[in-house]
Amino acid sequence: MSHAVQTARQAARSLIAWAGWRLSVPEAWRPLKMTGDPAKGTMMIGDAERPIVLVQWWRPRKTVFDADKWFDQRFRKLGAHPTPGAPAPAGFTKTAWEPELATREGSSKTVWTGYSAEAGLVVEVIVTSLTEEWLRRSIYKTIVPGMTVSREDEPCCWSMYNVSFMSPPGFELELKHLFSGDVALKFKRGRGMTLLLRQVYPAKLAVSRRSLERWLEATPFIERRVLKSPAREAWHRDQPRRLEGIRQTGWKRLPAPLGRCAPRHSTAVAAVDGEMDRVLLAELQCPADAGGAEADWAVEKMNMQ
Amino acid sequence: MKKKFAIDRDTSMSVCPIRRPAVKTEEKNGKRYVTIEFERPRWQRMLGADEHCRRTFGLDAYGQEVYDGCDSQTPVRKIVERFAATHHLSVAEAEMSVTAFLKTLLSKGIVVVPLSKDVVVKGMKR
Repeated sequence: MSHAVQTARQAARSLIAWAGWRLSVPEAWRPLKMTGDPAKGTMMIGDAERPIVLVQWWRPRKTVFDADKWFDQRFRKLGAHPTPGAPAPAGFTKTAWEPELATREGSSKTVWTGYSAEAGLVVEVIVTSLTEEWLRRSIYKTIVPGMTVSREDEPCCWSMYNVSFMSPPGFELELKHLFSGDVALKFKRGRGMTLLLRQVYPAKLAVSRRSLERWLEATPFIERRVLKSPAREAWHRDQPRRLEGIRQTGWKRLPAPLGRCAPRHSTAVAAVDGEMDRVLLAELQCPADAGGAEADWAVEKMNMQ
Repeated sequence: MKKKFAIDRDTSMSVCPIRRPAVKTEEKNGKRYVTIEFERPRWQRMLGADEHCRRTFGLDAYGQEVYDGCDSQTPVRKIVERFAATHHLSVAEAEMSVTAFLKTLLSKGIVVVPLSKDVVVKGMKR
């Protein structure tokens, strides 16, 4: 493919966000492989033909993290000294890079490392020499400097394949269900509080096969508690986009004879976004009835990034 | 071992698929039923079967969209982009779904894809 065609295609952007970091990448790029968990993991990002960028992240456990010492150790392990001029995106306390790190195979790769004290996150972006020189330069000139991170007391964005969610502060990702047409993430906070966020598309097909009530019942994760006789009411939002659906509340209990043990109050919202043709679902479960505003907020924030 | 025929991604995204002419088209309950006439294999004809047979395929709304895009003028890449834009999907997801469906249409013989001789020769050598 010619450079001009590739450049044109890269003008359209999409958002990839995971575990507290956020990158705006060309539309054709997508996550190819993901390993680990929100505390430590890797994501290989590429286009339809090849991998291009490897993003690694890690949340230091120590209360006092010595970034300078860690960076020294890291680059010593890589067998390199940091080169001046590392891209420094906003929100990062310390950054360092080695643009031409020699590999054992005789080629080179560019390694960029950044630490954000506010987010408590170390992120590394690696591009090998298999990627064209002009693209490598573009990645470190435009894409990496545009990286953002979420502070620990801020909502966190989770986005890929044009599907995005926002989780409220304090919620950690526990489970994921990533399938084309059905993306679900389950978060937890403290003891007993969980938040399930899900998008199903296309909505016309989804709603023709199952009602919104049935979509709320059908969770992609194992659910031992059952909701009986929920209260339901119509739910809608007009701004900034039209969402129509239902809001459901009630107590979820374990099957008999454990019904009185650890019940959970469930607040669930299922809405259809007619413009994007998506079914948006959110369910908050708590040991007590706390209003469930997080479920409403989570649905309003879906696909708004 | 029999060699597999394969063409590179760029070529496969640039080809313009063509719908085979349908002898009958019917709309029923939101689905389109397309009937296509095929020539039977020689061994079937030797056993006494008719020269031609007809097969009917049902297409839902999404299938119809891809099928209608196979007009011999629109490359696969454009069909994917149009599908992504219409259904607010990422290009990656649309490409997965559309190319998978096109493979099904090709395997059933509902659409055909014209390839130049040098592409065919190159594909046989892979």
